[in-house]
Amino acid sequence: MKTVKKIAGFFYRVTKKAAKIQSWYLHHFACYLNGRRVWKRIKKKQKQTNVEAGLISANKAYWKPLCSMVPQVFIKEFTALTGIKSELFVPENIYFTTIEPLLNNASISSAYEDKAIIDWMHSGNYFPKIFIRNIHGTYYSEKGEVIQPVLDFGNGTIEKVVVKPSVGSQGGKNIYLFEKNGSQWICEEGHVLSIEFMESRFGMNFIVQEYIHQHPFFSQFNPSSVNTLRVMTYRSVKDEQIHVIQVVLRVGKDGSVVDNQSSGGYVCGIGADGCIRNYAINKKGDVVNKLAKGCVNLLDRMPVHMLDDVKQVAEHIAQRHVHSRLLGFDFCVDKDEQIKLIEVNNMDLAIDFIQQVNGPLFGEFTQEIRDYCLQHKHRLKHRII
Amino acid sequence: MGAGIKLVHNGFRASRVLTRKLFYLQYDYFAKKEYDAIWNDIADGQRFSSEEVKRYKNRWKWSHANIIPTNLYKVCATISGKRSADFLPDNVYNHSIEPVINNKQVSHAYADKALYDRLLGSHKKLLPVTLLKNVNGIFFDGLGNQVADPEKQIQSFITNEEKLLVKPSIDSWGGRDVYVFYKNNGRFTLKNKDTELTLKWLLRKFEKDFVIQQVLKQHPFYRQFNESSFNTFRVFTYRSVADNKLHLLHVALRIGKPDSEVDNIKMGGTAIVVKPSGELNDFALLKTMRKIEHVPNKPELKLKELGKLHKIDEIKATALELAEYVPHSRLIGFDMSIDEDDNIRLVEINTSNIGIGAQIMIGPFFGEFTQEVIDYCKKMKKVDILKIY
Repeated sequence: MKTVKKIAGFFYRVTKKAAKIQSWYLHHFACYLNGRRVWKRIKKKQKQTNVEAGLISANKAYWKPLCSMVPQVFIKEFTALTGIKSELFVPENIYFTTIEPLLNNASISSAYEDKAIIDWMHSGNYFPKIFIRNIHGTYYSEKGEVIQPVLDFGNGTIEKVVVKPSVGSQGGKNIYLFEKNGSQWICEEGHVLSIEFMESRFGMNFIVQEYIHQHPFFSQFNPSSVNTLRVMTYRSVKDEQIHVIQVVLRVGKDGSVVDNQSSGGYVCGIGADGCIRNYAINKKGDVVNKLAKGCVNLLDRMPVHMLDDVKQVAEHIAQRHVHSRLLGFDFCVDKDEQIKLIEVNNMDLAIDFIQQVNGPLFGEFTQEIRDYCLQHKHRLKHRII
Repeated sequence: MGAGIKLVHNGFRASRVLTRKLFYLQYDYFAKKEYDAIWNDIADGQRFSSEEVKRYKNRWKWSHANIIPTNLYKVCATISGKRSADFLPDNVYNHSIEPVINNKQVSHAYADKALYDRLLGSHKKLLPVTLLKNVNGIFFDGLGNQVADPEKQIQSFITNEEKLLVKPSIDSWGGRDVYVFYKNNGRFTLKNKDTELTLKWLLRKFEKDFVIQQVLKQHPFYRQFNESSFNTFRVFTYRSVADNKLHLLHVALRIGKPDSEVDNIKMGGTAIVVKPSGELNDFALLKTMRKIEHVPNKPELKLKELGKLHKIDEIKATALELAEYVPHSRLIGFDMSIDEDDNIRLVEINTSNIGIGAQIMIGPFFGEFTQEVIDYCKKMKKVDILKIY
């Protein structure tokens, strides 16, 4: 029995090690392929794509102590798009395999992403009202009591609701906008809202949420989607203070309900002066200077409405997320100038579009993050879902 | 998506599936071997018909388990005296039940001892007093204020505390890495060792995610079972998949081994199931699976003579109230007990790897809910996470 146990134990350890190595290299490879695909498209469309060899080698030298694989495609892509010459651009493969897992505790952070408990976790009136919340198969009221769900929202005063998964959703997938049509709620795809529909579509863990009528400043970019500000915060490893490190505006494609880039949307950078940068980019690498069928000219460099207030709220809410040093908040401003938090992201944060429009991801904090990751690299854990 | 990326994704998916399958295969194998060995020791001429064994296998063959350990059935039926096909195989539980009825993606957050106070609302008074905690590398005091100089904070405990409990706040099980420090000549040291409680020691031992708490003193009634450990009840609550109502499944009293500071089974402790009437089970089990009718290591404490356990009804009622705070898990194990001031205390919330061994003594783990759990787990998709270190 002891010998069998020893042999089986050895075999299992070998398999684990193999899976760990495999997942490590596959992650790097997938990031590299993705970066190369975008870079190829950008090369075709951009006029100036030459990046100095010195800058490429400086970028490689900067990140090499953290990871031996430093692909050139990322520095080329980000430099060509932003025009910023800096070795601090973070290669995506290093971010996903090393930096994020070291700064955020992935095994715990999923719970903090759950949209069904977002208003229970935080104080303040920053959240769209949740009419139905299904948490692991059970329906709860706003006060946390177990209830039988009913499709009567806001005593009949509500005309539109958003239905979406509350855990583990990405890229705006499975989000439906339902509009009241007589006694029924119908979405663009023709589905009729019912408990059976939601349970068959999502199984469990979903919410029915108030539709946000956004402020005219944000709706001018695309009226069909709620266009959100992605605010990225960082809790410094040096002094534990929260800093807003990046803000971008995400704009849905014409007719889309969601603003995600993976659903065809555009991303516009926002500069340190609080103004929108002069171009927007989509997932395919198409760069435009005008949005909303030419009605919004990004070359005008408009100041973002209520940006400072949004940043303050992000810093306030980030205080509670102690297990994650990096957070991505999706904020919008409603027609009554109320700031609403749509979701908090703490895992697999999309960073490509941020560096494509704003420059190096961590800015002045790059050195401390790099040093911290170097020091704590031995802590890296791998998990398989 | 490009063909290259698709290929990489598919390769990664295949490697995940393979690793998961191998993990469960070795788990199944060891579950079978463990019960084979126990059955060899206790069989003692007991006979089970092939139909009975077949019925048991059929009951669980829907699961993802590669092996149904039929000797588990024989062991449970022999010891508990109940011949029911509802005895839940450990590997089936781990493969096909826990990942469905509890959201494992989310449940880790609820097991973070450093943040119980945020989770439990008005029930946070049941928690032991936390003096210092480290969450993801950040130090906080018991009130949740950030601590700039944790070394100074540790030194300050000398004034008011005699003993301190230090333990990891996440990723801990079985009483591993739990330390009790005693005041000794103006510093805190481990019993019979010169190891001193310092910030340097804490960071070397845990790196991050740990708590320093006051040591709970237990009620005299529970102290009689073992003086050195805080003997807790593991209370299992279940939110029914049929009506979403909370039910109490089992309660087991865990008793530490003599001189041990923890009561965990893995550290040599024992568990005795509590009957629905609130009395301890008529027998306890030794490691050899031999039945004894007294508290282990305390022959003078006859189980049948102890009567109803002190405040057991209040503990059960409180566990049901606490389960309301953990909506992502239908099955929860609370570690609770009574302190010397007669107050109910909550030591830990367990949402994964809860341990279903209580069924050996008292009968099928899910009891009357077995069928609904099976139907639900057959129907719903599991979310499983394996950590690879």
